[in-house]
Amino acid sequence: MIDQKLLTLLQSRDPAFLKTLFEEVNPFLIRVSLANRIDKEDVGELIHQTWETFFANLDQFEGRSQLRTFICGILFNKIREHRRLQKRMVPEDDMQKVMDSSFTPDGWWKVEPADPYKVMERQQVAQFIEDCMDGLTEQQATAFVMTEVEDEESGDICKVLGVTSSHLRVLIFRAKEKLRKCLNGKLGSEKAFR
Amino acid sequence: MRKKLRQLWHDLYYKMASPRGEEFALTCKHAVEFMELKNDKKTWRLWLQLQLHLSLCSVCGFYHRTSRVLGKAVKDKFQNTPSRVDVDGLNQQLLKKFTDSKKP
Repeated sequence: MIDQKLLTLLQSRDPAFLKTLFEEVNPFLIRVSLANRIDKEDVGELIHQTWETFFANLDQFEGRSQLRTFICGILFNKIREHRRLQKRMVPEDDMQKVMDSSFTPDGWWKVEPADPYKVMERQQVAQFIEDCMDGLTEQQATAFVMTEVEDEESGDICKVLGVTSSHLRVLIFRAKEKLRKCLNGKLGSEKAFR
Repeated sequence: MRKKLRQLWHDLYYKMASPRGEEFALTCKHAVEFMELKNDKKTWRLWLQLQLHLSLCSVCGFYHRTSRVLGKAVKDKFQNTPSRVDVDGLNQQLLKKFTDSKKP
């Protein structure tokens, strides 16, 4: 059940509480938006829409998830809608095919990953990472950033994305595979990951 | 040849680690899936299975390191680089919008 004190503060739009809430949650929402390659001009608008939806549907927040998880779930739907309108949707992968294309039926790698440390530096990766995130679906980008940057609980990420925990693990695996291949191309196949 | 050797290694590892026939050895597919599971969601047994697999399988070791490089690079990118979005301005706009529209 939702904490009654929290609900009262939200319903009364307590300025001090809202100020703290925006300061805590908005940087997180911005990172999720940027990971989904939303243009910086559109990020503010999407976050405005997210909070509008949140306050209009306060009665649906039942305290089953953290406040920021609930708000991130709203943002995630806004991002999908925005990318759909901009015709920038990346088709979702068939999760079973992802694993089948990477592993043999008895569980071994089909194409073995190589040692990344020979020439890969974190600085190099950082240069290209944003461009490479273009190839991720909304679910993959959001799962990846919530796991690696925000260190969110798996259960909360599953609630935001509406997926099971095993689906989430495949999403993260696929995101890393796509990023690895993209970086490999950008850095030169002879150098990176070889 | 390499695949054959790997399978022989796997069988050996399986039998040594599991004298009572209990399944203990992970395949690479299982290891990768469990790597993506947060530590607090892993049982001690699973953690041990994974560590053992990583120490014996260099290919999964490479995947694990690649995964960590990517994770750290993304974290650096998003946490240490200014977002170019005016967060303070956005917060002020939102505060004004939602406190002004407060119902009496």
